[in-house]
Amino acid sequence: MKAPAPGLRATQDLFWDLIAAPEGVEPGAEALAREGRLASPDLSFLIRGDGRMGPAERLDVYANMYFYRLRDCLADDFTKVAAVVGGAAFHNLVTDYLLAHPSRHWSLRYLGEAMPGFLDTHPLSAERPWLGDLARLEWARIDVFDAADAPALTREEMTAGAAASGDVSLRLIPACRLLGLDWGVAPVWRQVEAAHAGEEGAHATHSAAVEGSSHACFPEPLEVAPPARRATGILVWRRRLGVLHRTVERDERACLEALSGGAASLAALGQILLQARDGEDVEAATRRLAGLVSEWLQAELLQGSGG
Amino acid sequence: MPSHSTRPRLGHGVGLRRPHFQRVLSAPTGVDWFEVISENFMVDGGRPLDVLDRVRADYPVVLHGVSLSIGSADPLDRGYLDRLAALAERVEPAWISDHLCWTGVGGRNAHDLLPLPYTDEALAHVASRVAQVQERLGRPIALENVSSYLTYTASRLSEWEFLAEVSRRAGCGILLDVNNIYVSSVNHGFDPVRYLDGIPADRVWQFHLAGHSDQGRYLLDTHDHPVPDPVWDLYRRAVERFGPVPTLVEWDDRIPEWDVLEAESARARRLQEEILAAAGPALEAGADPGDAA
Repeated sequence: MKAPAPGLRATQDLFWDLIAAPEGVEPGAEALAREGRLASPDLSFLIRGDGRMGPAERLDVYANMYFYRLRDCLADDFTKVAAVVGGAAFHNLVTDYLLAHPSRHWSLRYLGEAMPGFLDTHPLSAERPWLGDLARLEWARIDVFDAADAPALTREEMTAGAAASGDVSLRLIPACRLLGLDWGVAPVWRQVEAAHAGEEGAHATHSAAVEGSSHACFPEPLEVAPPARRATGILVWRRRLGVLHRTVERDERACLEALSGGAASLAALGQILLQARDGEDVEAATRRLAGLVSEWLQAELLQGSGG
Repeated sequence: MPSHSTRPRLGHGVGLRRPHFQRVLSAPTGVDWFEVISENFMVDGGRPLDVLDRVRADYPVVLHGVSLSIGSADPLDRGYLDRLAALAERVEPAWISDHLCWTGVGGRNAHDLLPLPYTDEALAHVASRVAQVQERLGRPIALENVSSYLTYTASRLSEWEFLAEVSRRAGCGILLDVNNIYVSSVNHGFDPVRYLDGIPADRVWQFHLAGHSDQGRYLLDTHDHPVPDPVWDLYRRAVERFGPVPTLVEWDDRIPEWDVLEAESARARRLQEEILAAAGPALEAGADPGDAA
């Protein structure tokens, strides 16, 4: 006798367990039967089969779509990580990741949020312990891509503020992240980007498609020069609509850390800079701060009033 | 004589996708409106919203969601609805649509359009949730039929009976995806014209057209090909039955140059105009989707 059809929640719970089973639907059903959650691995009580396809085969269509859709999303988010580990290893990484971190947000945008930390302890990092930091850089770029807009502070606004009050309070735009990494991964990012540009150029000669599948570009691991292990600050921000990043020196990082915590005055930043540049005189620190502020204004990193 | 949908006449549109942003913003196009994936624009700022604002300045826009998960056994996601409502306030869309499906359960999301069992329990559940969504958004929504690859043993209604009854009970519109009807008809062995005949004409706000791929034992809804001939044939039947319904061509993978997509939309326009001209005024009707609620 067949098992009775389950209600809506039980149907969906079971459907999920079957399509998310890492080995596929049929082994998943066998495992559920062994655990006593199914009377038998025969899924005909749930899904109708026919001469063309049985219940498990029909569910497999969804299982494949589930995995490949999420794999492609993560491959788009972490193109550099995917390139250096290669297609097969990335595929297995995603399998492990989705078991530990299934999507819990309505937007795919957040699927990869836990990937940097996951990579830190994943076996793939035994050979390349800098993978987590490379993923942190990639994720920060995604994070600022659609962060809130804000008007940039202009040189005129800053001058006017200083003239009015004798000091200026500065703050960073929302589309800005300061990363403190253990590895200098910016050159790895550049190497893969350059290789990727070459690959896309080659693809363009073979296809009229405007948008190919970038995640399919590197089936084999891409050889890159391993990064140096050193404390590295990387600033990631969005200037108008384009995402940028650059490595920052220790003293600039100290200032940006203060700014990341909220608004900071020029006077406070001057003190921070002085401490970060041990033994330097005040005049040199003041010149350095003026240079940094000028760079930040140019990069549109500072938030203005928009007035 | 067919009955008619209460709907605005948006004409012929396409799905707005990233590779075409620059082209669409740089010069006039041959399409009347755009549909966007709501979730791609439910963000805080940056390029997506900048592009959407600029497109909206020149064209009507429809918000088409993929994550409402109207059929899930989980509670409705109020945070999601708040973000969608905020986007709708910004965009002032012609209407908002999503899919007759579920996308996740137990707090997990598959990001796929998963099929529902067509049971009394599911029907009551979906109709009640559509009413809640419409109340939160302050407007009726349209639900789209999805392509499917399986039938639940427990289903006692056909998909078209289920969709029609949800629309009747909740007062929502129907986004009829002609390609999805065709794909499912092959995968399940039903007559697609029977599906069209089972849908109340006054509820159909929009058509979708797209391509699919043949996997041998089944068709897969991939949106990566031109609209194939059997789908054009079914579209003809749909226009004959439902009249001048706004029609949208979707192309989501292996996206072609803009001109190719625009030509697909132009083909839909020509075909619809031919059918309407041959049918005369009997097929001409139109109003606001708000009237359908």
